[in-house]
Amino acid sequence: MRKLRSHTNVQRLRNKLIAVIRASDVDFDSEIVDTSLIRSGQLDSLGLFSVALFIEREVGREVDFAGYDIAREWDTVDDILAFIDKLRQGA
Amino acid sequence: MRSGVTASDYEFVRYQPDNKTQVAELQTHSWSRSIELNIAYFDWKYGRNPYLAEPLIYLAMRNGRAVGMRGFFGVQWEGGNPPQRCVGLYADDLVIAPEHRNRGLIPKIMTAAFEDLANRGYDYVFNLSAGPVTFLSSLSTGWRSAGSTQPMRWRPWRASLQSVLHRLVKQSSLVSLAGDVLGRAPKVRGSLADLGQEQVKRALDAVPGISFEEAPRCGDMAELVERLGSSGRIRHVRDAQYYEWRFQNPLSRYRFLFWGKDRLGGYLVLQQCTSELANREEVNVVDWEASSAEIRAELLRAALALARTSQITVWSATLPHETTELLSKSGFGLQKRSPGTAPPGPAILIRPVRKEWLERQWLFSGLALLDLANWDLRMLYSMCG
Repeated sequence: MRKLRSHTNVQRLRNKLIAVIRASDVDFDSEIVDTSLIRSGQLDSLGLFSVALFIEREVGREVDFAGYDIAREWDTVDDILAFIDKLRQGA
Repeated sequence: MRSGVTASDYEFVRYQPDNKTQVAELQTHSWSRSIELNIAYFDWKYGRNPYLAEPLIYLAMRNGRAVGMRGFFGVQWEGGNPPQRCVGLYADDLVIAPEHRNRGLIPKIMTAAFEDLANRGYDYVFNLSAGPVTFLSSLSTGWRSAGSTQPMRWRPWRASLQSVLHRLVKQSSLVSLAGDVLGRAPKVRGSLADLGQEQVKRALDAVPGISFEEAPRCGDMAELVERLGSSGRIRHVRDAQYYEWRFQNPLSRYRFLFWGKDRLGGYLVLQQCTSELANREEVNVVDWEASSAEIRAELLRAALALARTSQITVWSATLPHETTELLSKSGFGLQKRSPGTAPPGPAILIRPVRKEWLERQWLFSGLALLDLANWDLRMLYSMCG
């Protein structure tokens, strides 16, 4: 039951993230988990900024993004979800 | 609906003189709405830059039109003991026309730029005015940050009262009185250009010894900087040639407070943006030097008296402790930030031109470029001021 709830939460978070990315006018296939957003250049400056604000809202604190390798850690939707998870665990 | 156009449908080229009008048009998204003013700004920033003989600007072209650009203007850093000097490049003016965004143009423009700049022998590029959007996109392409400029802001009592009233009105529908007052209160507005002689005289009566001028005293200012010496931290070379060029920026208005007539004991430079695309109500302290703590304090007192209806901002990241204390005592405060909102003030960004240098330690004159303690920053070094 707990596993199911956790899965639903991840799905909800994924949908919210995809909505943020799409609002930045990025046209990508959200079913393909390894669609490159940054290295492909699809997620441009404003899109990155929206994702950064989304991450901070989700983790509920200010994040010093200068300490991370964004190109590697945010390149796909799953990468960003893992990044949020890492921050929530205090990394 | 996306058109299916990708970065491979564009051409990435270095600026040629016949692109000037197109650049001025493209920059109506960033510099100002006026093409004429943008050409004047271009000519000043790239054409008359004292450190570069020709503009280093890289463009994304589509069907013969410039639709994206990044420019690099020359700066001259000095630092270390004994001090060394070098000409560096300041990356600025990143703009992509709205209908061409999210097509991966920025990394392509930057790749073309870095290839060319490496061939020209440049080592590092700098940016001291990156807002949150440019900041993140830069981090994703190999730039690293030395930290925030930590702006401290002074707000006139009327602006502070207005924001308290705004908060009250938002919190309670019962505070109709506050709403009334808020509605009737005049909008806080102040321009350095509006300062009349009488107003200046009144403000400076309390601080004798200080004069207020519209023109810089470039030679005197440079002489004072040289007389005060250097701590060895990295800073821009501030000689008369630099000041003469720097204060001609056609998108800014400058006013100067001087202590001393024949021999300068101190100066403070106030700046205000004039473009309709910028915040024209904010006044910045872009440069400030004094031969004693007393003169420094008096210059600040005069600045506050003069710009009393405007918000005043100064970068505090690398100021000595006694100066930030003076600012705090005078009513300046660090701008706060909450999660999910844009960070206040720009960040200091640096990147080596060559990809193979990304993993090395980035040094100038033996000083680590990413260590904020090695910098002596003024807003004047950036195009924020």
